[in-house]
Amino acid sequence: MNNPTQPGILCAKSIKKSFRSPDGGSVEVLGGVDLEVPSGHSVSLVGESGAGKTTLLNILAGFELPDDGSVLWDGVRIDKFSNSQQARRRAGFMGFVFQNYCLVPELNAVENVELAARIAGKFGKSARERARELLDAVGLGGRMKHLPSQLSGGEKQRVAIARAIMNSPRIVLSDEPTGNLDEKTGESVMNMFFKLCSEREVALLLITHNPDFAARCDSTLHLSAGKISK
Amino acid sequence: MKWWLYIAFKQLFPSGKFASFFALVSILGVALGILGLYGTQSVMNGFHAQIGKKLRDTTGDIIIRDYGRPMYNLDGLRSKLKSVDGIKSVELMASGPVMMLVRNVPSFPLLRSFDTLSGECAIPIRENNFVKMGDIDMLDDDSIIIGQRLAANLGISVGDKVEVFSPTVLDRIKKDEVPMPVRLDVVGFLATDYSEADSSVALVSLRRMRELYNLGEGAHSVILRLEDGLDPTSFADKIRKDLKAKYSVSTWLTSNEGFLRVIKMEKVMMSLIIVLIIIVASFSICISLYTSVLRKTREIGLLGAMGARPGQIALMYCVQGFFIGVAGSLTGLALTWLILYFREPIVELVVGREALIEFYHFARLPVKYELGDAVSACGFAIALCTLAGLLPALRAAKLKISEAMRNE
Repeated sequence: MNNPTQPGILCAKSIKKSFRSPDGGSVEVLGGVDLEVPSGHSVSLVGESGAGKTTLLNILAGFELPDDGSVLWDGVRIDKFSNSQQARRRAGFMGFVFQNYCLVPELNAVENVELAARIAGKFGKSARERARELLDAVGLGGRMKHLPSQLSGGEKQRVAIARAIMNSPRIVLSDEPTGNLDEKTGESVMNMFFKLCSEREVALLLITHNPDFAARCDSTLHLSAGKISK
Repeated sequence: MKWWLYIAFKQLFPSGKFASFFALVSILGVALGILGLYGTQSVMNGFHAQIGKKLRDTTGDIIIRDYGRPMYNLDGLRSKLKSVDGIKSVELMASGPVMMLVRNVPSFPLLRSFDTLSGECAIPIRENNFVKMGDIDMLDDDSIIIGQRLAANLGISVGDKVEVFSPTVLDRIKKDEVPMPVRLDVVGFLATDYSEADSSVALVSLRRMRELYNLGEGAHSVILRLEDGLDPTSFADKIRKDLKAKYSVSTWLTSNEGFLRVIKMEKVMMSLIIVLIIIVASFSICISLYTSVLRKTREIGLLGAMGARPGQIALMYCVQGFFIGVAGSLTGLALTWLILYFREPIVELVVGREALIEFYHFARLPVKYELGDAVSACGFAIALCTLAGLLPALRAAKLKISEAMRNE
């Protein structure tokens, strides 16, 4: 477990998860993982492909249920919530940045960013204004009306980062955000990502294979053989 | 605006584009279905209304007969009926087939009387200006007004003379008398725009008709014309009760019941066949939306990750079907009105005006828009399109976020 100086806003306790293998057996992916992300801190999660990093992220985000153990959002066990409550709570509590950007192709950049506010039920003039500010902050002030198909990979990921921050979440979970980008673009995107999170005191859980990005986080966790180690 | 409504709308009408290809094709498919359905219904309604009007205009609203026998001593009945509120005119009518010779060419029109003395008539000859190339007031005991198409077929002009033999000549032949025809001057043509009447009816004075049929002061029937807007069926019931079954009372609706029912049946059958177009359109909407769900699996997963609930995701797809249904229906209604507005040149081009006159007895393609038909056609299309969105919606709602995000 981490040794936080501030109370953890995202905690996992003794998380276990196994999957059925095609031959009918069981493959244990997570064998009792403990994790804590303190408020405003950045934590990187590294490990080999297939180590279970994405599975752990899915469990932390409430996308999947663990076989055993519990996940706490801001000190509250998420299994106390119904699916619907969990979805509502997630909208304001967490942001996500994925490797594949996942922008809605029919919406332009500013509409994609403000979509997060719409889903959280906070849409209004102020949301549109905030979406514009965030796009300005990620360096896309001149591309607000561009559709995803008119943006480069790095620009799409910047839009995705702005969208993740839109609802002022307590934490952003990010799975390989530079996986589809070249080294230089990835560097530039991550610089901006770290800056935004730190300025807004948003905690970050970053899954990455890049040791440089992992090293820039406040702490780094290694996931190997279903266990976390520092 | 709710986010699911917003995304549904944006997927059909994306930013920076008028509409997506899927939306355009789907809307057009539904619109064609509505055009076919509502267009056909409107034309069939037009046929029904027009035929009804022509039948009413050429037969009167209510027909009182003595079960096929000639009727006599009608003054009492006539004055009694005249005093009833709602009856516009009461006409004593004699009618029947005759043989007409024109330049030794025989024809067998139906001769109908017109009371030249009282001028009372249950069909709107004056109001609708049914007499062409002459005037109804020119009709006397020695003249005849011939149906326009009949006159054209026989090559008759105004001023010609025709010879008329009534069925009563048979009695004279039996008595070894030489039957002499009645010579009548043609003083006009009857043009009701109802081909059935214009090609087989001729008008003579009531007195001449009584003479031809040996009716004395009698008639074959009493025809009533009602004030506009009155229901002939209920009025006939009332008269039937008053007359205590002494005479048979029928309306133009019952007299032509079979014919009118055939038109209604045609409308229903054609509607049933054309509904298939809308069903096919809804299947293609279902397939397209389902493909969209498969293609956008990751996006759907992301919406879930951002806090969208499964029910809202389902609504997003159902609403797309609904939008297409509404837009397709409105476009279909507009297309129907547009095409039927320009129906004359279209009919002329496709079947020709003559065919319309020959088979349907109308000079123009009749159209009658009925709100009920529009509402039911659009309601059906919208319901079907919304249902078409339901299957993809359920598939989208069932997607697990983690699995959706892993989708390749």
